[in-house]
Amino acid sequence: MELIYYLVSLLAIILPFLLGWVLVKKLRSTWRPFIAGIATFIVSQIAHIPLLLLFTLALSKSGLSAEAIQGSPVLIALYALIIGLLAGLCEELTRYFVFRRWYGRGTWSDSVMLGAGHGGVECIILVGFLVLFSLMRMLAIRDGDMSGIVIPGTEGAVLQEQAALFFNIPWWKPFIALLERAFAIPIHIGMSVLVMSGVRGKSLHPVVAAIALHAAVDGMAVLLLLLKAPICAVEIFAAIYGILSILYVLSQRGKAAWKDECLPAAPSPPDSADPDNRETMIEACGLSKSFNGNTAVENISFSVRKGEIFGFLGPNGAGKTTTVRMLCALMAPSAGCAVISGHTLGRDNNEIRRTIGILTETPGLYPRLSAYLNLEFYARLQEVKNIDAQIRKYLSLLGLWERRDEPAGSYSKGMRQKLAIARALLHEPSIVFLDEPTSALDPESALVVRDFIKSLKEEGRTIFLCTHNLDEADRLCDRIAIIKRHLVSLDTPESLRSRLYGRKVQIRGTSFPENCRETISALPFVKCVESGDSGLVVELEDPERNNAQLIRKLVECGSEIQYVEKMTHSLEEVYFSLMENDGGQP
Amino acid sequence: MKICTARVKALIDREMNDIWKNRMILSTMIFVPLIFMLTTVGTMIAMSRDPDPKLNEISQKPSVPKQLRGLPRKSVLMASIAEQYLYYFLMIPCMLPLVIATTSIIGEKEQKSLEPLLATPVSTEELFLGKSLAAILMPILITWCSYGLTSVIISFFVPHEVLLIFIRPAWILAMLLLCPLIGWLSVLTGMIISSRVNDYRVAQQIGGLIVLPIVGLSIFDLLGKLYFSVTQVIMMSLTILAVSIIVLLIAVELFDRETILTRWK
Repeated sequence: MELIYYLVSLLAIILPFLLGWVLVKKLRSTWRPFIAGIATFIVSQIAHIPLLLLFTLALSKSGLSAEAIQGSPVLIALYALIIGLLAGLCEELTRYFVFRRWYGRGTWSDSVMLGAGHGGVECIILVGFLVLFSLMRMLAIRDGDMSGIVIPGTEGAVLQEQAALFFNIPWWKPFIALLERAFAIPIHIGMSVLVMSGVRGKSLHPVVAAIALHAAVDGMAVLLLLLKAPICAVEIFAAIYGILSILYVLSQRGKAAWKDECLPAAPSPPDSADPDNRETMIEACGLSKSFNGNTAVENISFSVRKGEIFGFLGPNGAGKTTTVRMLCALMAPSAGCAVISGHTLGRDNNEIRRTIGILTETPGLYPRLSAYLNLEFYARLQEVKNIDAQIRKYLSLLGLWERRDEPAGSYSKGMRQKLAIARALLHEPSIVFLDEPTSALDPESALVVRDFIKSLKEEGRTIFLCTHNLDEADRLCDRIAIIKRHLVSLDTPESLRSRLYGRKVQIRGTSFPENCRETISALPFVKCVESGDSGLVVELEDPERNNAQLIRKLVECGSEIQYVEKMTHSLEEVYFSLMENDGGQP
Repeated sequence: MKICTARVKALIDREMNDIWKNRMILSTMIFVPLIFMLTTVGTMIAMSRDPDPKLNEISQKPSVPKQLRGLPRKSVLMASIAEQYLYYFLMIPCMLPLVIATTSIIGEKEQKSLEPLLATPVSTEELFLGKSLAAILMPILITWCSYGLTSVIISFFVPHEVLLIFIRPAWILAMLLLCPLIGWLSVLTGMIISSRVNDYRVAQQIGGLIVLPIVGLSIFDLLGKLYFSVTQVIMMSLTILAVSIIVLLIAVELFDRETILTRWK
């Protein structure tokens, strides 16, 4: 009997957690909302105790008799209001704190889950106690009394007293109470949505509103009880308020304020600007990420086409790694959405991880394991079919096959980097994210890696290349995005140059007659003419088409031309110009 | 929640491979049970060779459990001492999984191998399960082997009634039920601590506090207030299970991908 009692008690404690776990797992694959809900619940419950004590103490000090207090609706209302207000303050501030700290991104569904966690716990705990007391009731009926099933001592006596009270009410009453508590779920969801809208709007105002509402609800319930209103009055009040909460939450769902959460987006059609009409492999739309209120990435949008090497440049702390982590489904964006190879970020994260290969900033190998075992482990996680052949293929391509049995910890930096690249490619991903692939490599190893990246492009893979090496980006990338938390610029290296510096040609010669500058300035395709060190610098609309006419005109003017060369600017110059234009040092 | 057993097995194999190549873990896994075994066996042999122990400890014990009353004086003394040593075998699944789990997670943090790992389709549940099982399996096997081996060895030296106390159903149940649960709780604790510290020695020192409840149990036993029964073992197991579920909630929360990448520093 002792064991049965123990088991039932334990069940009553564990049941809320188990049921909550199932509920949350079904709805969303994270524990956060549930734990956040429990936190707000615990705080509000704890807050009630000292508040009640303080209020009772204050009343006793006032010298008023119990009868006088109970007979005064003003005092009762004051009591109910203060308790509701202060407990509500604690609860809503906790909720606000939880949102700010844990839910920087704070979506509509997050706030719904948090409210469900809080209200759900309240409801489920009651279910646990109902189970416990129902079992006790059954056992008591069978045994004829309670003495055999309660633990001895003071606690046992209290429990027995409570159980006796429980037995004296009709059996259906607790279930009505349960129904009333079930409204705790929509009520708390409503509160959460209200508070979250305050966090999103960076204003405390809705929190104040939530506290006031809380005080009104708690206050009204306590008031009804203290005024000895029939129990159904409280239940009806809770039901009305619960239904109003549901309507409020539903009305918020469609509002523009919630629109920037990561909603599933349909895969985009092929980019019309692409001459080959290639498939879009990465489509990012308004991606943002903030940590505890600090914005790391703000509203970045771009698309990457199949078979493209897409350079991602930016200074340290610009948000490159954060963006890559979001695109690799390692981090949830605070706002915005992305579609990776047709899979929507947030919804198809596992499919995304199957599609991509990633080379992280540091190789992240297991130093005690051999190169072969390192790769074998990842191949098994990626469910690669022919593991041995794949490992052999990539280790041979990167020149590591002969040293496959040596521990990765004994490898040089370059070898470790190559091994990490092999790891990223084992499962033949269609998109490869490379974060600083040639950093800390000697020139020979860097060349091997660059050639390898080119060969991946030839195979039709899409490469997303994060680098600080501007020369490398210039040589490898089809298009380059420059970011500094937000997107500064995005284009082909050539277009970036021409956008900044125009399309200029430098003409060197031994003599240029005085009138030739005016003559060529009058040509319709010439945008600008400047005098250089040993000749002229002419900006043209299209040097490839206009050069012949320009040279002919200069010769006609009597100029003696030695060289005509296209003026080039390094990507480094472009990068610094863009960064300066964007406001300050990179 | 769908668990891919192939991925869990890959995780366990990788952890096992790492354990075999880590001298610190290997030596801990060999020496801790060995010392406990040798202490128990040595004490039992020494006591069995003394024809009439002139020890007064038996009288210093506040009370002798009723289950031991009626036995010869020497047997009571031997059984009391053996009972104390049995708690050592509960400490093995407490200490070893903690060492493995903390070394594994802090190792991953040091090697920065978590990011590429999390970029694979491995789910949080699989990762959690793989790491937990890898940390528990060996220590549990070691605990069972050392308990079995100790029982076999002392059976040659101790009186029959003492052996029956050593291998009574309550202790066998404790080995089968309580040990894995203690191991699991220890792993979960290790994981939580490891997520917050960067040195495995610090993690193990903090996590070492988890043996305190077992020390407490042995003190209760010494005072004659506790004598393991099947019911008590079931109750303890259920209590540890309940505590483990709460600790699991915290550990799973910490095992979220984003938390690992942004907060595990």
